[in-house]
Amino acid sequence: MKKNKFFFFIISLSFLLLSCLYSAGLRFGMTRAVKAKVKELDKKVLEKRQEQAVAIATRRTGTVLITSVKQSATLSSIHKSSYKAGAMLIPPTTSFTVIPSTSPGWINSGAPDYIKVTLKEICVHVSSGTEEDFSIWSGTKVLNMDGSGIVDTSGMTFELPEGNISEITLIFSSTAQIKGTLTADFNISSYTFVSSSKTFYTKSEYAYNANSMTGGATSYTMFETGPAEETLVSLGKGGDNSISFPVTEVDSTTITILIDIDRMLRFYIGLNEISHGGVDPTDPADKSYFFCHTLFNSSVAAFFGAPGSIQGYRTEYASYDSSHVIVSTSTWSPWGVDGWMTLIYDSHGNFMAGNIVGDDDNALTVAKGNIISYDSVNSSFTYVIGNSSDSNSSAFTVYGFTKQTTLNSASPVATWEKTRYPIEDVFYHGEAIFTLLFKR
Amino acid sequence: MKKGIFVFLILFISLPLYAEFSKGKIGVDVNYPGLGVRYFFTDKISAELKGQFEKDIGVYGLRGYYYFKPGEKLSLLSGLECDYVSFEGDESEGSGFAVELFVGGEYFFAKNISLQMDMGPAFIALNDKDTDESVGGVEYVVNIGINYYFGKGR
Repeated sequence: MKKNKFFFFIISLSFLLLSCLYSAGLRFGMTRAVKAKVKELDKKVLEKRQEQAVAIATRRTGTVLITSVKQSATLSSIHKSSYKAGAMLIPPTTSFTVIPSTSPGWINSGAPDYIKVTLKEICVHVSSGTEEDFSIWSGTKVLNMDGSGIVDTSGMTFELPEGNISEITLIFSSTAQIKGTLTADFNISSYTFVSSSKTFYTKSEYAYNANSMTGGATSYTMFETGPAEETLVSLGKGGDNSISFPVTEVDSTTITILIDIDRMLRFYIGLNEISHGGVDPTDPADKSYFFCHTLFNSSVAAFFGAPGSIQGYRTEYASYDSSHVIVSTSTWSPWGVDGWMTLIYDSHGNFMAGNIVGDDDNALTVAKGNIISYDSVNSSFTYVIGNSSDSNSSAFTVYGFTKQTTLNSASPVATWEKTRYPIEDVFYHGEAIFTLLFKR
Repeated sequence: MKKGIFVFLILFISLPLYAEFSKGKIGVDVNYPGLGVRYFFTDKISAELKGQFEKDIGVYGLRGYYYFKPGEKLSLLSGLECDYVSFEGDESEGSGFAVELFVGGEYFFAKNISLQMDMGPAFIALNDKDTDESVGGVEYVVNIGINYYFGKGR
């Protein structure tokens, strides 16, 4: 009897104890404890799936708009390289501090009939807590650009990742097909300046390969007989050609890639025996050839949004080594060279992107690169040498530039602060006159 | 499951009974909500293979026991449990592990049958295989069960 009472006491005590423990949130059995944790995990998984669903719903699908531009045929007929002819196209109200002397004239540039480049990949750099590069499109898209406007981009869509996009990178094949005819005043002497108007046609037989540094012709005369043929040009040395552009604003899912082909047809006459090399120090000096090299990089702009208007300016430079001061009493005569600048604005007239190139950047260096900002109040714009793989690349400013609205009107003389000649790390500065020759 | 219960009942009915646990004895237990088999390495130390099952949850593990005063009617014990966990929740599915430190006791209300209760903190970590989300934390767990001992002791 006593034993039964004790047993009953133990059972009752256990029941009471268990009731208290249960009330205190204790779990009966390990499976119940696991079940409590499973509920917590269910909640987290549900939240994550909802976040993913929202992210998918808000994922931005984008398209690519590629536009190629060049001057109209009429405007292209304006005689280039006017320094070499002794006359300049400077409007009467503008004048350089010191009239530049002729440039060597072994290289000249112009617009091809067309250029076909292959776009292989588009990447964006995203900052969202961490820094990451996303490949948003890859493939093999041949872009056939004749400067007439929209380029076929069918099938090129992408999804933009979440986060702040700070950079667009375009990766092109290292070579392109090009066809065209170039007429300009060339220096046909190796040691002295003997100007002669020449017309050269692209020839498939004399294509120059910048990677192997082979090809070209032993004489420029090989290029003097038409018609022009499609030929190969290198867009740089090495492998695929990667170009990066800073992104300041993403208010559209359209990536506009603007390619200005106005100076992509470049010809070296093969007579530079007093300077270093033909085009690059590593390129042959005694061969004649069409080339493009890194000028392609300076002729491409990429940004989010659609362009409202495009302007093309002919540039005329007075280029000084940085050791020379720009003063009217100077006995040192700056070198003169032509060039080209394209500016892109949105539909409100706000600057979006641009690029600036020189016809001849071999014997002297001029402002060249991607224009990243334009300050209308202070009449200045800033450019970077257009290749992010150049570790020494930095921003330079041109002061005194005013956006023009009337064709053939010129900005007052601008001063370009400094630019860098990458191979020798020598700095140049100078003056420039910008004449509006093209607007669309 | 039915087959398992049948085998357990056959063992329960047919095997000879012994009064108390000691080295070499074997115990089987029905706990909430599962089954276990235990072996005594010494009079004071035993190990148990156990499994607990609930809808969409399985816990499989090993328990180690230390008995402070074996042979008494109410024997206090302590131990450590390590488990592998598989689960399927409303949103999650995956696996994990649990580790529990426990203290408790066994009360013998028959010669070879005891009632056991123990409790302690258990650290449980689970991972969802689809989303890779995970949770981890301590739960306080109470275990109850009935043990049946048999086999040749010392």
